[in-house]
Amino acid sequence: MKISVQFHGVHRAITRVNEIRLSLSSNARVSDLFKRIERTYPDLQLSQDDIMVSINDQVSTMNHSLNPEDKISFLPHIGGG
Amino acid sequence: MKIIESVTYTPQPINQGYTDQILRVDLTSPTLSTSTLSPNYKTKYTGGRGYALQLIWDETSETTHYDSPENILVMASGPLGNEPRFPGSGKFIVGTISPLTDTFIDSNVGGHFAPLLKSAGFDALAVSGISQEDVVLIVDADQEQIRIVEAPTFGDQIDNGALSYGDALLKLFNSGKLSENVAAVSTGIGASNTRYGILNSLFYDSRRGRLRSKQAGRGGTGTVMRHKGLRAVIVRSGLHTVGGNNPADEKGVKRAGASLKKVIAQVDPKQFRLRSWGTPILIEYMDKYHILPVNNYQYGQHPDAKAIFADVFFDRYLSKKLPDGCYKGCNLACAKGAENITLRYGPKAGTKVGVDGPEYETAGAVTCMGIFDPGFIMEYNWYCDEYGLDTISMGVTASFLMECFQRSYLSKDEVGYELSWGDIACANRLLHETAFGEGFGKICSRGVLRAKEWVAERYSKKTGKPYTEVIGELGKFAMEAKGLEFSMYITKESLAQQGGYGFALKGPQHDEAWLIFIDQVYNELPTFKMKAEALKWFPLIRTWFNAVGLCKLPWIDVRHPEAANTDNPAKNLPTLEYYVQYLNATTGSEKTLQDVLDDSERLHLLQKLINLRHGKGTRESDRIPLRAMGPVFFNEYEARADYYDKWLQDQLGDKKMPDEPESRHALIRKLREEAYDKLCDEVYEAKGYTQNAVPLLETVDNFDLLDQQAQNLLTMFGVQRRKLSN
Repeated sequence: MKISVQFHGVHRAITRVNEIRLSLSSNARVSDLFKRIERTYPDLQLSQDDIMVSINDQVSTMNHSLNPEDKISFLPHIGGG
Repeated sequence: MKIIESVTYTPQPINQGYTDQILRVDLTSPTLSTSTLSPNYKTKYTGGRGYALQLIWDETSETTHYDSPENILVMASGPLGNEPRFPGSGKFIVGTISPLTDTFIDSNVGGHFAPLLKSAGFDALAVSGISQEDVVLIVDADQEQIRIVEAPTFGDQIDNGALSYGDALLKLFNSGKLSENVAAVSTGIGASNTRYGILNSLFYDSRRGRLRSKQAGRGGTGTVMRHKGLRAVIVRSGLHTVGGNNPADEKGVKRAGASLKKVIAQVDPKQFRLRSWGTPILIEYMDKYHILPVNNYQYGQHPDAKAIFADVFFDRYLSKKLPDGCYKGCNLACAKGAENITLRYGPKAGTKVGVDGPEYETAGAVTCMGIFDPGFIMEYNWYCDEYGLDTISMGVTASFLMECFQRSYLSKDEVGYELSWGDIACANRLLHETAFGEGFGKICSRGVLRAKEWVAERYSKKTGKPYTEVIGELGKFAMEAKGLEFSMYITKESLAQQGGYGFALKGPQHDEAWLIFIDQVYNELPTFKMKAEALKWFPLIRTWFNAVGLCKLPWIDVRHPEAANTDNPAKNLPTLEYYVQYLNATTGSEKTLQDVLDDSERLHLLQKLINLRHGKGTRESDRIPLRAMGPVFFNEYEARADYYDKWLQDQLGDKKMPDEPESRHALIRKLREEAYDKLCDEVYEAKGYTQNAVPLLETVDNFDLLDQQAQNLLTMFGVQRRKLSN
């Protein structure tokens, strides 16, 4: 299945792209995607403790099963001004 | 400079974070006096905001307004300010009775002023009275002298500007040179002509070779200062800063500071890059989740927003090799700056200036007017600072008037020109007219609450509609509560943040509670009870920073890696431990985090009592406009119809949604208002208040605040001591 990963803020600055399209196996979970992003962009220094998973703008978890055309973001914790 | 009054004094040394001295200035007489605070004072009121609250509570009354001679303008740091080994220790608060809210306002600001004031011997400066002529106050520890002098003049071009005037004044005072040992606060012409004048905190940055400024922006503190005839305050002290607090435990201070700095260095580069980009990094995330105010908070997202993302400012304007902390030693250094920005508009068009900013809030104030031009944001930032205007209140008032124009409550004849969304020329004209008190700017200068009343009166006369009906309609999209303009976050989809704004004692400013992401995005507060608990806990800890002289950003926006392993990661408790360690190491106390929260709760209650005294303390004052709760008009609903329909269906469960979109929209509005009412019930109970938002007598008594004034006040609101049942 095809999904999209959106990069924001620091992640966009490091990857230099707004969004990438990826092909994943049909039973892929967020954790599988996370590992792939870690391998592809090691400079992101991603840690599961440091980010929140967002799928189609809804917060989610590493165990969540992905669906075709999902849009995934890994967000920092935002505490406000 | 002609001396009007002066006294000599011996600067008292700082001991464990305090000098225990207050400088009192009465500008009417005029007189200067210093006095020693009792040992109980710091125990009970902590410092900073606590000192300001106590002075306002004890020495003003319900008849005191912003322009009353007895109103006091307090500037105070706190025991933890003035320590470069700990990040963010240059903060102080400015507290007074506000021209916008007519009750207590405090606004925090960074820079060198507070550390220098403390090293010059004072925990607090309290200014009352009104001078008949413009004066400058000088606190000179090097000369061991305090003076009130006639405010020098340098010509209108300089005298009208808070930045220009401060620069000229400091050079005149310090033999033509700017120095890190001299700082000032100043106001500009906008503070004379509006109710939302700011106080600029000016300090010399040797790396940039110019004065930089930070702002006490909210609530019109600069307007009060200007009304008192106080043009500026200068403080000079050559005393040392590192270790200057003379802490109880030097090593403990060093250890706590090093721990926090390490976390910042580790986390910020991969989390927000506040050190490089500053707070504009929030723009992108707020836009993504429909939280960035657009067209007076009608919408929360805009396709042009990417034109003002943080990297745009960084690439185009910001100085890249200069960390811009507002005080020494802060390695978060989020205050950004830019050099050689050529102004395009206004009376100084063509001039190259240095801009301190922009902050997220300033950018949000501009998008609120429908403008997404980064150059205009830089320019708006500079002019507001120069004129002494709060970027938030200016932008929100202008946006409200633009919507009045959009919805035909105002006409071109009344304004003098068209008020249009996204029109830089129009926004720019309104900005300058407001600062100088000219044309339609006279209306904008009043702030949203009073502008709303003006529009309602005229529209009512014009159309024959009852005034109450018109003001009710305008009130749905007039973004103020308690008289203060909302800061720059859309709360429609976060009930917790609706409370964060509604219950904020000073009015809707986010520094008391910012719960949008943990509520709306992360969904960590699914129940009313959880929201209520958060709405008690976060305001207590967040406002504690304003009592001790510290910046809260290293806690809020740098999530400790260990926080994920705690029960409530959003509280970032591992970082708060460093703050408690720093407090104890400085003051010699043995406090826990709960003690800190209790100290803060006392101040929270004291502020609540002041609000009650000034008619801003009951449930009615916690009401927020419908725009803050949901889509007021059909166009707002239509813009996100799928989202709103899904939300409505979730609420209704198995029940069928109305067929007509107009009916669905009306039902959403009704449910949102009911939810806010229910939230009020829960929060008041959690805080120990009656359902009319009045603290119970026992609640006040528990914090040793039940003096005669408090008793009388509570009795007036029908609160009696509960009788014990047998």
